[in-house]
Amino acid sequence: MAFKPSLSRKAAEGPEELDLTPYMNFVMILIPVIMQASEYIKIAMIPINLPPAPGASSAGGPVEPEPVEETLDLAVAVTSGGFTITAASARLPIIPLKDDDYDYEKLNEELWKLKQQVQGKYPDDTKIMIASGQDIHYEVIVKTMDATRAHQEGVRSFMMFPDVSLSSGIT
Amino acid sequence: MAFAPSKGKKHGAEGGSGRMELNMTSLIDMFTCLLAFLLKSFSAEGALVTPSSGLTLPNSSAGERAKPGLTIEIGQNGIVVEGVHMADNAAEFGKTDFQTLLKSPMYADLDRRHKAALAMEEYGSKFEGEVIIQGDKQIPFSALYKVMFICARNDYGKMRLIVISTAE
Repeated sequence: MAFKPSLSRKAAEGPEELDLTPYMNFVMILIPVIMQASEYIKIAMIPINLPPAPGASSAGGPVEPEPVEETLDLAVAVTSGGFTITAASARLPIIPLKDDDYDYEKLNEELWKLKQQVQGKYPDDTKIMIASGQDIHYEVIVKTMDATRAHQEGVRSFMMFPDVSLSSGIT
Repeated sequence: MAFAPSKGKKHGAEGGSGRMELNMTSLIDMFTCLLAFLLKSFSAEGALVTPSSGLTLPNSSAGERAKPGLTIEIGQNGIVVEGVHMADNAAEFGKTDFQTLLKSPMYADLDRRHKAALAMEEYGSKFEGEVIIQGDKQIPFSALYKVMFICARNDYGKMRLIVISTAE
């Protein structure tokens, strides 16, 4: 004969509660690990090049004539008066200061127009040289690089001139 | 006449044990929210480059992830190469002529590091010539350019400017 289960025991204990101690231990260890590996300030880098030294390729050995290929030679000069864009022997209009600050939007628009014209026509159509005055702040140079790198239209971003060289051609 | 305290309420209802249990629900809710927030900003690689405390880096829309390399800090109050102070004033350093720069302590230090790195190539450590430049946003361009000149003269040609990314 099977025993009848005790009714009194069941009634006294009530519903069982989850043991949350292992979960709490796990979370307490996980939080410092994630906090250590989290980035609250995102650090990025901008690769830059120095302008090629004149005559560097012809150093040593006989000089062989190279086929002359037309290049864009795009450059943006940053001065205390604003921006000047030059490309393929052409000089675009000067972009003056706007409310005592550099007009990065206008620079971006002008370069975007130029990019659409020269796309695929020159071998150096992704390169740009930024020549700056000696006293121009570093922040202005970085913002100029941002304005030359990409053009934003709505949610789409178009790459313009991401290969930046720095030059101090302006004194 | 004062009422007598209820005996039933104090001891009778909970079976007379007198033990209380912590309610963990709200604590677990908080931890779950915290975990979700931290996972959102989690980086599997960790921070490879740590910005210097005395510098205000410029903001940029660049999104390329920073890689470690020889670190040069250019602040308003001086230039530091891998933690070693090289010059006192960045603006004055920017005015130095190129011939004087070739005799500067910074040039000598980079030259020594370059030669040491080349000597290590025999043991399989390839010299990449990578340098990361952390500049304060207010320094003049001339200071940055002179630092770049010294780097280039010592074959540190792969230069990277460190910025605070505003890219999504």
